Amino acid sequence: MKKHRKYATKLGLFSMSALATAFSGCSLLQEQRSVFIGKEPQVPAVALVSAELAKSTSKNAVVAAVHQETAGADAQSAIQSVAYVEPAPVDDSLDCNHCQNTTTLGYPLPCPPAAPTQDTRKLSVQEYIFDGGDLNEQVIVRRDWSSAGVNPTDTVAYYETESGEVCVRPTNRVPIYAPRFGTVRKVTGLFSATKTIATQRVHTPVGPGGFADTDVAGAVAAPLAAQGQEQIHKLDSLQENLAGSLIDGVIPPQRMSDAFVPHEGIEVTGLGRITDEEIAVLGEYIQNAHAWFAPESLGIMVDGKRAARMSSVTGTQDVYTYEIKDGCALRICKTASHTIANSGDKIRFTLRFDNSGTKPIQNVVLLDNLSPRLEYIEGSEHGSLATKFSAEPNEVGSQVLRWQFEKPLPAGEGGAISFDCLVR
Amino acid sequence: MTTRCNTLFSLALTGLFITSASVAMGQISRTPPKVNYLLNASQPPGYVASAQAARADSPLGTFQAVSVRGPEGLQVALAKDGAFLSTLEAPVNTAMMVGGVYRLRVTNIPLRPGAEIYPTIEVIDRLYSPPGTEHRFPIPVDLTIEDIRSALAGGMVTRVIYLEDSENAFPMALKPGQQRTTEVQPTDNALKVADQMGRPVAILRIGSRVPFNLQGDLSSFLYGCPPWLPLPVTPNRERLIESGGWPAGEVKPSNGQNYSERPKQDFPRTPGL
Repeated sequence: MKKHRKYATKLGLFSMSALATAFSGCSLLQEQRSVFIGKEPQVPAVALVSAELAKSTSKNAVVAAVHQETAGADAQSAIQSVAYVEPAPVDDSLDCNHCQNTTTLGYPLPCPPAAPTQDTRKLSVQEYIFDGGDLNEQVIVRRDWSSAGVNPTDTVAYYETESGEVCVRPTNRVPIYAPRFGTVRKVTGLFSATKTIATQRVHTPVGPGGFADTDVAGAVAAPLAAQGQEQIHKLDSLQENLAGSLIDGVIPPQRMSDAFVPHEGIEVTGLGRITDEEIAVLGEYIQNAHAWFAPESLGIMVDGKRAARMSSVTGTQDVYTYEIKDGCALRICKTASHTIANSGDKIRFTLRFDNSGTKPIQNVVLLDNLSPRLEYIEGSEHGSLATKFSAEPNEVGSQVLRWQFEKPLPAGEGGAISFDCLVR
Repeated sequence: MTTRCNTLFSLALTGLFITSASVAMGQISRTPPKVNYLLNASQPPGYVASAQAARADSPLGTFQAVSVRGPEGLQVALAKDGAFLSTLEAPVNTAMMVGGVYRLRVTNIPLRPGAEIYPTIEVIDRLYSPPGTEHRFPIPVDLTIEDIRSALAGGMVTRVIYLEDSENAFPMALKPGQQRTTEVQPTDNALKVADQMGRPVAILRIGSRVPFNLQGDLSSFLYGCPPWLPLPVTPNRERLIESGGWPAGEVKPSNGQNYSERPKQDFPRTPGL
């Protein structure tokens, strides 16, 4: 029971803060009354409380919370207590300085907070323009090096490794908050409110005179057996990873005047380096930082923390050799110049790509299937490498931008491509 | 006796079925679909907003920025404490509470001196703008001259304003402040059409109804006089150019200086390459 009293104090404070948030500026809290439902047998009611309910408030039951105590040796018998706090009576004498608090239909309007609330922020996907990523992960590459399954808002790169393997790598997904509104207009009046109630006469439809018989296939041609099988030896996994992990000497973008755009003025876009200081900046630009890290790569952790790097002049004591498979090693990321926009604004997208593997890749193709809310601005595309660029209409009324690299991308090298879009 | 037992058994079985059905219906009613197909924009103001209150994730009680726009010179007055305040020139930006019905007084209509209309705005949903940018993305409520003339001629204009789904948006470039309008027949349900095209957020109704006495009791005419908050006008590029706060031509960055296209954008100023 002492434990319950301890929770009573905590939950009482929690409920007071929630009530203060809900009725700030309009009402006073006069008293708090708490009833606990848990292991106490004399309490008959049972309340099932979810995390959503714990955050919400209503007229009758205001706050509920679930606490679990697992400390000590009593971890198996974790106490799960549910608090049900009745709301404090609202002082009616403190009006909200408005003439009425009820609508004509009778339902009460709650007292408004003093300022727009900052608590419940939900991500409404309808209000965002997304660009980048591979939404359905269904991109396939045909033999003629064309692609299929690149949906609107997708941005992918596909290429061929030295061993003949075809890789498809999506970029990160960039959200831009840009809600757009439309209206449905209806004009009614005394003369325009005509409506057909029922039909007076129905003609009997004439059916088809006959059906032509169609012969179904009587035999199925036997498929030819494969004449042979060509075996491809993948040498990637057998070779030793001798290349350095840090990428130096990458060709910077040729268009230096555009480096003044803020989202391109970071070391990642220019040189392909990721520094600790810029990770937070990157997180804001791309809003999705998971594409920057390779969880399968080698790392040393000591007690859950990254090991510090130390250099020494002493001789090597132990040598460990790791074989890292040189698979799809193109790192590609996408950033946008704006995180919020209105119709008519111009947004610059930048694609940074790096071959982080140990062997060159070839036939690199970058595809960006634009959202219907984005329109490519002609002539705004620039890149640091020689590419064949094309912009074709897509199925949603926008364009598919395609860059095909003219030369293979050597190991450890990369570049950047940028283009401008108009927000529709 | 056997018949009585059978009757009791049947009643008990029926009660069990009713209980099961009510439990099932109760579970369904907790998660109503995000559409308003059973409602109609032709219903009285406040009806759709009242239905929003029954939803599990009702946005009722939050403020939403609304911008009332109109032709040049149009005067708009909001109501407070049971009476209309002094008029303001459109656009008028306010934060209205979701679920409320707001009555406006619109005067100084172009080419119609002395005419007045009293449209209503029913806010039925909200936006989820990034924190700190709520005032920059108001729901646009356009009082077009065509709608005003139709109302003064005795018609009833209903506009359901919806938020377009960006992934299924109509691929048409719009200018700042421009809105795409879909006309429907008088027998159609404008709210249902808006539901199919996006997420309805507000309903504008313009008619020719005028109060009998502006100095009398207007509580029913004002639909309870729900609260609102004033909001500043968000500066856009055209207004900044007109006021001299922004150069008219294209801005070129000078050497060694960082440059952001939007004056109010919160970009970190990182050094250039």
